Amino acid sequence: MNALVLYNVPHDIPFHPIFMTMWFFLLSMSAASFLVSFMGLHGVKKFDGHVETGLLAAVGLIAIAPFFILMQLGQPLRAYQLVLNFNITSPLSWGVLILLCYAATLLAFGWQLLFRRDRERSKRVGLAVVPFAIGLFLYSGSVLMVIESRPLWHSSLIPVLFAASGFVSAVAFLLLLDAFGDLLRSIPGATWVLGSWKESGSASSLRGVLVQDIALDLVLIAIFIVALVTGSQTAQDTVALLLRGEMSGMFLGVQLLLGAAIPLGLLVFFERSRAVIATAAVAALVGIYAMRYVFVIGGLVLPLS
Amino acid sequence: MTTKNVPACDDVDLAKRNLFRGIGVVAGAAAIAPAKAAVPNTTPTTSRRYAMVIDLEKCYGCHACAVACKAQNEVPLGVFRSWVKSVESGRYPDVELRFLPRLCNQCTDPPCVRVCPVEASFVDAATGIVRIDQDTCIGCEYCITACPYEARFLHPEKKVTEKCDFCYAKVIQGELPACVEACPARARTFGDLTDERSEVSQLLNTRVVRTLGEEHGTGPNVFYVGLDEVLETVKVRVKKEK
Repeated sequence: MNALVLYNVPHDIPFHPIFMTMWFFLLSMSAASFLVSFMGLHGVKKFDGHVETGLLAAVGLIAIAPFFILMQLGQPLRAYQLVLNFNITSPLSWGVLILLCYAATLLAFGWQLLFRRDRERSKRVGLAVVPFAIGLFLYSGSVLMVIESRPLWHSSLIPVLFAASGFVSAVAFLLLLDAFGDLLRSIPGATWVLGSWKESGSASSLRGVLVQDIALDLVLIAIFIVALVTGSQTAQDTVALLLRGEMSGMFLGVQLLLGAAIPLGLLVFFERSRAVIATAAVAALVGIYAMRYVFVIGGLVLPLS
Repeated sequence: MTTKNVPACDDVDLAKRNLFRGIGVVAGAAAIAPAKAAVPNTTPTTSRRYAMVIDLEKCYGCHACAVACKAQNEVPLGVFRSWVKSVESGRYPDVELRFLPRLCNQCTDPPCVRVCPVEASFVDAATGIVRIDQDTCIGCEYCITACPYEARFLHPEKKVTEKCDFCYAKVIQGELPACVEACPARARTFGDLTDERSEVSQLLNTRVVRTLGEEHGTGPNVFYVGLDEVLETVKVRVKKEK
């Protein structure tokens, strides 16, 4: 690799390995949780028991996420500059706008659904959240996609891959909530909030969704890898990094084996016990986090020439 | 009361006089402004395009440029605005050592500027130099990932992005960047590409020059003489390592 020889000044990886990956992980998961809630509200049978839990997950995750991006900033107290300045060519600028609109409309949706108990009006308000939820998927993928010099990032598949994996993580998270439903219901006020939550029935429907989502995710990753293998020398070096280099443990071991193969095996071949579903959900969540890590940090590992 | 009013009246008169004087100065300045603009301008308000040509055939890897840059810009330990890469190849006694001085390429279409969410990175219209407003930079490091030359870094103390700016403060005073002044081999030439008589323009017209990472299409303004030979050395070494 030319670059490795050229660089005898230490090569630093700019992004913090946890903060930036958690930011992308939580954003996609929140957007997907909202979409599950919205589809449930509109009568999609697979999700109809997760209208309230999906909403709560979306709100909770989006409330935590900004902490991680603030920690990523060298000057977190200057975060207000993101609102004062707008660079039309920067995905980060668009992300701030989308995030603010998403949070505001999501709160309005939650207000209608949980406090007004007006499901018809909630449907209309929810429609306003949908473009921003999709925008969050596009944003988190676009931040990487527009960087031309990094083959692992510079692909139009990235936003799609982030959206698909966002759904995997959201469904896994909701399955995990299902598995610990009794514990959740013991929280004061939970029964009031989680009015329509049909614990066991929705769990079985979400199992199928998780299997389909993980399968879709795997297909997208396979397409992505094939595109890299047939690409430039740097792209092939990136594949080598994923398959037998520094990132291979995270990519093959955590993302594909622990995060995809094991949950698929558990959900398809094992009995539908709470322990099995919870284990599969946790493994899928870890796998999707690993996927974010592999793509965000993996794209920065190879020095550029 | 009277004694109090007198100075007050004087103050008003003085204020009026100052106001008229101010208007007069502004009007006068406005009147002579076109005449001033007609005179060949030597200030950096004119649109220039500063560039650097580095002759790799002259560079012998003394690192004086990197040291001068560190001293001039107070660059902390562990990070560099300007540095020299060494590439060894071959086996004793048939060995080769090449040097590649590196710095920000001051791209004409810089990806770092495109992605900055707060517009802290910008191209200085008067000089063509890519600069960073350190009071606005939030230290998100996105520009660092976008730079195909990895010329940017997060300042370990200031926690904002930094990079070479051709010693902007010196250049607008009509001086040369510190690395150019320090180079004992005179391998570095700095100047204005819009001036056809400048040494950099003449070098670009008379020598074979190349830029790093041409495939990125960013239009670098740092040019190298003898770059192909250095890159060939790298390729030979890589092939042997594989």
